Amino acid sequence: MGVSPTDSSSTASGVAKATAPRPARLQRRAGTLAQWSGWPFVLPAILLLLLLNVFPLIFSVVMSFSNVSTDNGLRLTSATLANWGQLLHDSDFWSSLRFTVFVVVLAVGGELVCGLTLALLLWRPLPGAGVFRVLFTIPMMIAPVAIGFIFRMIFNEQYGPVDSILRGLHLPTMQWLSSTGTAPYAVVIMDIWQWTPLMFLLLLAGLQSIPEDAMEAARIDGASGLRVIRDIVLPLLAPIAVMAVFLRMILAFTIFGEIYLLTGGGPGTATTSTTLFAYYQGYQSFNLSYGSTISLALLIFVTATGLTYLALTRPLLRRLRT
Amino acid sequence: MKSRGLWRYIPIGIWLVFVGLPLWWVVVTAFKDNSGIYFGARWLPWVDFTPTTDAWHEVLGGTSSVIGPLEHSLIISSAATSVSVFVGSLAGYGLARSRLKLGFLRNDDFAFFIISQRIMPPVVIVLAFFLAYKYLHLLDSLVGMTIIYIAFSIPLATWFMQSYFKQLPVEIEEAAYIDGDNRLTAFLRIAVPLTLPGLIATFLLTFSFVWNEFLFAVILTSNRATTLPIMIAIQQGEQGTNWWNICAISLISIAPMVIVAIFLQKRLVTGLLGGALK
Repeated sequence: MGVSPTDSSSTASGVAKATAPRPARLQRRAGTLAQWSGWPFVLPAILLLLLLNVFPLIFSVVMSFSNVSTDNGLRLTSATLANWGQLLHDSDFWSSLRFTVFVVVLAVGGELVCGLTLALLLWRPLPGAGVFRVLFTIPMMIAPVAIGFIFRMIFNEQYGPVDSILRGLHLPTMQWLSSTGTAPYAVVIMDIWQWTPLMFLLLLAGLQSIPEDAMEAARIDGASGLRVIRDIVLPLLAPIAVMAVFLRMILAFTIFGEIYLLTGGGPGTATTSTTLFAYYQGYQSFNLSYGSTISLALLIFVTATGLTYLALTRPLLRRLRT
Repeated sequence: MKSRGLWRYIPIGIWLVFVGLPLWWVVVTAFKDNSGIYFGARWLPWVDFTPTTDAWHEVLGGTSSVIGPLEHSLIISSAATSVSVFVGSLAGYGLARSRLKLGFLRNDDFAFFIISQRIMPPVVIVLAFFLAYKYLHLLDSLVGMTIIYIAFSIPLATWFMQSYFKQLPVEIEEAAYIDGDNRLTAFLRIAVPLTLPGLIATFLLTFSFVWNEFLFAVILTSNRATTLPIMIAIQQGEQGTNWWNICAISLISIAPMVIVAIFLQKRLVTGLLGGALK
């Protein structure tokens, strides 16, 4: 658990660790391996990414500072700041960003709580645990559009099972998808259903990597179960949890297919995520410049949030490790 | 260790109901028709509705056949996954075993560059691809879709393969060099076979991402290269939603992924977290 998950990679230290405790003769050979320049291996990936990701990204930036016309051949007319000016004053953009942040905070928070609970429940041996693990994993492998559609059936106010259960229990039913008050929460519930599995798998692996002697020592000291969890387990689990939340956060910011099928962004614009908004503006309204501007604003926001998150969690991790 | 804490079955059971209800619903709805849906919620075949296979006939050759999109999905996913896992394995091996240097940039910087491409929201590049494909005549083509999915998949494939290669002891490859192997033959003859389970896991995960992807497909395809997710999305016909058809198509798209889930659940974690876990 010593390696901080915020290290983007541990390549150098990994090589050093592997070469350290070996006899001199082998170490010389390892030296030749370590000095090997692996360019022929790495270059294809880097070139493909430059061509297929970085170049389109640059082209997006260019589009956002001009007006694209495709009437007779592609033309980029006049360098302009108009798109960015429009964005700053576009209340629909800001509400889409607000909704996206709402989903990220509530859904990822919920996934952390549910995933941690499930991981703790299945940590110690339990008959049938292997079956539960597989069943719990299934939702994250399902296509987002299929999930969006499935939950549209589930939340259907006339024919859906949720309302039929509520009626059976004599509880008030809800207009899950047609009310601006509840539709955002329906998105959150769907996302928790879909992505708790990832959080659960990562945290369970983290739990299983906790050394048994740390647990034994605490138990000999007579600490109760809950205290062991609070004082030993959670601090040791924190690095994995920080990494898992980061991963989910980045992916949740780009939520699209699920919502496209669940609500189409409605009612009104109540569940329009920023990616969905960029899709509507850039592709359906065919305003490529403005769509690019929205997507770049999302990129900036995701990057800034990600970096802030990593900066905020680093001291926390350091404190927990000592 | 003997198992204790049987109370744990209660919260686990509650979660199973939460996970299982939507899955159960999609399975039973695929065997319903009008009467099974529009007269309120029906839960159990033969008990409160009469199951029918109409939807399956329709979907597997009828008016809303998925055979074409199913073929497209298989071709695009297999091709894009093969290329990106190959390229990603090479890059992952290079990152795990060599010292790269370019000015002040080192291995970590290149690894970060590669994985950062996956952190970028896909919507940022898709409109540029739309324009480029329009002029290259790659819109709505299997080749075009394969290319963009290669770009989409290389970062994760590289990341996973790098962490699997790092878990291999380097001594075996060193022994191979003494036997006269070069970098490439040591990679192909030693490293790849030794990390085969990891390679398969990477392949399956990459495949599942491409198989399920929707944003690129909805913008870049219309007819000749539509994939299964598109078929799910366009079923809202003039006569309203064809619930049963969409459920059948969804099940066709979900079935292979369940197998992937069974195989992946452990490997996924070691691939994602690599060195952070012991």
